[in-house]
Amino acid sequence: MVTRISYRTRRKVKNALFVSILTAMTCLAVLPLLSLLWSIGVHGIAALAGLLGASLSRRTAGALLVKALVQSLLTMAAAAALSVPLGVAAAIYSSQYAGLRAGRMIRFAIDIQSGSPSILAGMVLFALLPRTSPLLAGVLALVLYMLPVVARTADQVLAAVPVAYIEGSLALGASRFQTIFATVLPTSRTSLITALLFVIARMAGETAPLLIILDGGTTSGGGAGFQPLPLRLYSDLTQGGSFPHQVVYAEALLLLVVIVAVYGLARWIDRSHR
Amino acid sequence: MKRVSTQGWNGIFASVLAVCVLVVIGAGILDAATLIIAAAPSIREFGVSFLWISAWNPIHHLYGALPFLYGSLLTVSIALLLAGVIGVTTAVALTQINVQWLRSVVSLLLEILAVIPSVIYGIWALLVVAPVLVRLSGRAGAVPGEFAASGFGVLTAGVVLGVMVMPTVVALTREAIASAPKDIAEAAIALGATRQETVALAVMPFARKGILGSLYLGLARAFGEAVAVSLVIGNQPQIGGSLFARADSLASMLAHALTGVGSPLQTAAVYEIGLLLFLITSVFYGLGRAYIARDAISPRLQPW
Repeated sequence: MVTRISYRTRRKVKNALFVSILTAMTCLAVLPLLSLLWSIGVHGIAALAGLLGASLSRRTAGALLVKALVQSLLTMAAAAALSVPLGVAAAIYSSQYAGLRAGRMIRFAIDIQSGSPSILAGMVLFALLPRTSPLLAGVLALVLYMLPVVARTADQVLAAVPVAYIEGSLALGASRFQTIFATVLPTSRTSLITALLFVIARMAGETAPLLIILDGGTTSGGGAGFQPLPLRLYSDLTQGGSFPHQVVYAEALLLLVVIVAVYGLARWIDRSHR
Repeated sequence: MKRVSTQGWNGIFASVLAVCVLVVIGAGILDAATLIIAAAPSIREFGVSFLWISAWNPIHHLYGALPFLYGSLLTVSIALLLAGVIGVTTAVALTQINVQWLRSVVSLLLEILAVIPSVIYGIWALLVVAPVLVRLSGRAGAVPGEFAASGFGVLTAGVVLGVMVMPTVVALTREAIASAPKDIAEAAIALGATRQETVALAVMPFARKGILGSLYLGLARAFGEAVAVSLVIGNQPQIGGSLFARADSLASMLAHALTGVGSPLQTAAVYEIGLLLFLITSVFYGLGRAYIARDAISPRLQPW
């Protein structure tokens, strides 16, 4: 009798220990994000408030900040305009047209590509086009990195369309072409937009593909050249000892706000159309 | 007549799409080919010994990958240890502890963690992680003076990498656990098993493969991360033999190696490092994919 009770207690204690370890680990997993948001938020807001002050040099710093933001958005828009249609088209083929084996092979190839590190995209472009305008090089490097990611994401969204819908449409006499535009794309529109926005949010902060193309961002001296926000941030950080902390924090906060806003938009579309 | 033209359009559309597929896959082949061609002089010069030459010496024209392999392996191991232990337990908590608000808040936060760019992680590492690690290790005693001064080194880089990889591990492990058969877990509970016993005996055996896959994918991501690591690892190609020593990883060296003007051989050696990184990440990515059933993953909001 005594041993049975103690066995039961032991199991209960073990279970309680298990649950509390799980809870503690979950808190530990969330802690870095809270710390990150807190530190960047506090320093960034203080820095932005400082930059909004009247001093002339600070005002130019603010202007540079806005310039970097605009260049960032332009780069992103151009890269997305090139890679989204191409990637989605490839995904339509691999999910709707390709046979079972061909589809599997295409998917495997694109999967492996999408796992390749972002820094390699910049290196490859540097080797292919060493002397080209930084804007073009930056956009192309981003496209090279983004294309397989877009194709893979879109393929997964399109593959999630219920087969019964597609078969129904084909049974009614619609061609593949009609099925895609009347059934597949309308059914998956919301998920597709959400997933692509999520990809864009991740790409908007990519520094590595731009890095090597723009020669670390240091050649053209300060804000004279073409420097999207993430790149500016990196070059400010690596310029060494005397980097202007205020500007770095303000830039970081700005970038964070833009990216979280795109992410929030994706979440909101996902929520409101389901 | 009409029917023929519909068929015609269908065929044209399909071939346009097929060309797009070829462009996407061709871009990947172009990637690999460019790396191989650009690395050719170095491959010819050093052969296989590139892997174990432990010097990166522009003066004597001697370049080897060993210091960078060492830096990568060490930082990635720390990252995987952290992300594996914390990430897998968090995923278990998210699926097994039935508190709705905790579940949605934590998954939201982890998704945000996944979109934050690596430069921002770099700033956070300089601002928070490095000072905290210096203070913690100072309290534990016996810290090299150099680390105490800057906080740069293998340990800091590994911890930051661990945080960056965690969303991947949590999301994939959660999918793996969710796709384990429900009835067996329910049967275990019906037989009077505690939560802990259910997880250990009726859930984990089915999720083991998926968890392994998530760790492989996390490994591939950790190897390829350049920007945040290069900000805190110290950027010195040396084999320090200590967690507090400065080092350099394959990816982080690429972030700063091409900016300086170097000899053609040096540039080729840098590209060979890139090729090596490409091979390593492809292998781990392929392994991870092999372990994870594709349709088990929800297509929306994928954090990797």
